[in-house]
Amino acid sequence: MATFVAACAPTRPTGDDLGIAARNLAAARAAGAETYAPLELRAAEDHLAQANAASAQQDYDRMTMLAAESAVDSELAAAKSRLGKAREAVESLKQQNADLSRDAARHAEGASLE
Amino acid sequence: MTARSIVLAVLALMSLAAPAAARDLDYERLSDSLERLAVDPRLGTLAPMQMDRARAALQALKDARRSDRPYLLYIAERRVDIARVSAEAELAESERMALQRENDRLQLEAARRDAEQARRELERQRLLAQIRAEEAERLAREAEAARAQGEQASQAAEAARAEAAQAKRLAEAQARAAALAKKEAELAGSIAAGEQAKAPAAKRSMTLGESAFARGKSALTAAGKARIAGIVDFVNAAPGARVRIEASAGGDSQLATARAEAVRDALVAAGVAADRIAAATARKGKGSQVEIRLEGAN
Repeated sequence: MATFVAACAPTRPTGDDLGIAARNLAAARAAGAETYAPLELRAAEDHLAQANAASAQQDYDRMTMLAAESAVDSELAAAKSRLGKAREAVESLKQQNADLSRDAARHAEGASLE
Repeated sequence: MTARSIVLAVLALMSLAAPAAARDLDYERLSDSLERLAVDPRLGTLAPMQMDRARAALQALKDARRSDRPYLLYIAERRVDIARVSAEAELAESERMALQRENDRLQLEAARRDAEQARRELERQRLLAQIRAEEAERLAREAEAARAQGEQASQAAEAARAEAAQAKRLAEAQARAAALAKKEAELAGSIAAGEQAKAPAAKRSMTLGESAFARGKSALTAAGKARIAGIVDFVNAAPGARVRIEASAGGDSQLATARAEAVRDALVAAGVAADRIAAATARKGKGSQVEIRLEGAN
């Protein structure tokens, strides 16, 4: 009977879905998701928490889906963070280059007047 | 087949078709979104791996069982978003790199400019230093020259002082000489004045006393004759002058005239021109003397 019960218990997935989701979440935080993608980061955290809860309840199918959702949330958060940082860098460089170009033009103008 | 059975069959088909149409709408929406991304001229070629994963997610959604659909729809939506955001991030990154290259170029240009400016400033400072050094050297030369000139001036001043002292001594000597000369002149003047005062009396007239004649006579005595030579010298000393001879003989005008004429004759005999003798006459007076007086030019 005990053997029968054990054979009918939910089988834990062999993949490391929770681990992947946790690493993606850490990567998203490291990428600056708290600043650039707070909503996606929150979704990733919630989904991971729910996945852990499902795992605790041995609801592995649900755990797998929630972990996968958390993982893509974190991927999106990280991508948005990269985009936000790149755009900030672009704006900063545009400003710097405009200043440098202005200095160069002023210098050229000054040199032509000398 | 009754009409009722046909209606039921149609409704059954519609009930089956309705979820399929809803599935298709989500899939098509996401598929269109991904397709637009794929054909975007700027983003289409970017993030190819995420594009592939989005397509796979869409395919999974398309193939999903009804129970898995919400989960797979969520995953597909996220995957399409990730593909789009990743492509935009790559584009922004590419733009950032281009701007960074431009920034590097501008920074290099500015650095070269600054270096050139620094080089010019250095050259300017070097020239200024050279000018200052030359100026300092010039000032030093001038100071040296001034010092030498000062020495010369000092020597010249010393010489001038010596010369001035000498001149002063000379001037004092000259002053003394002048004073002496003045004194001498004054003395000479006074002597000349004295002589001049005396000369007319001595030179303008001479007198023969009573002893020159014999008592009551007009003839000259030996003493009188002896005086005649002196009177001749006196008269000849003033050759242009006329000679007036006036005699008095104690009121005896005749005797007096005779004595005047006797003197005239003696003078003429001694060489005095007779025409120089203006008169030989008596004059009134108690005395007894003959005065021989010169008149006119000396």
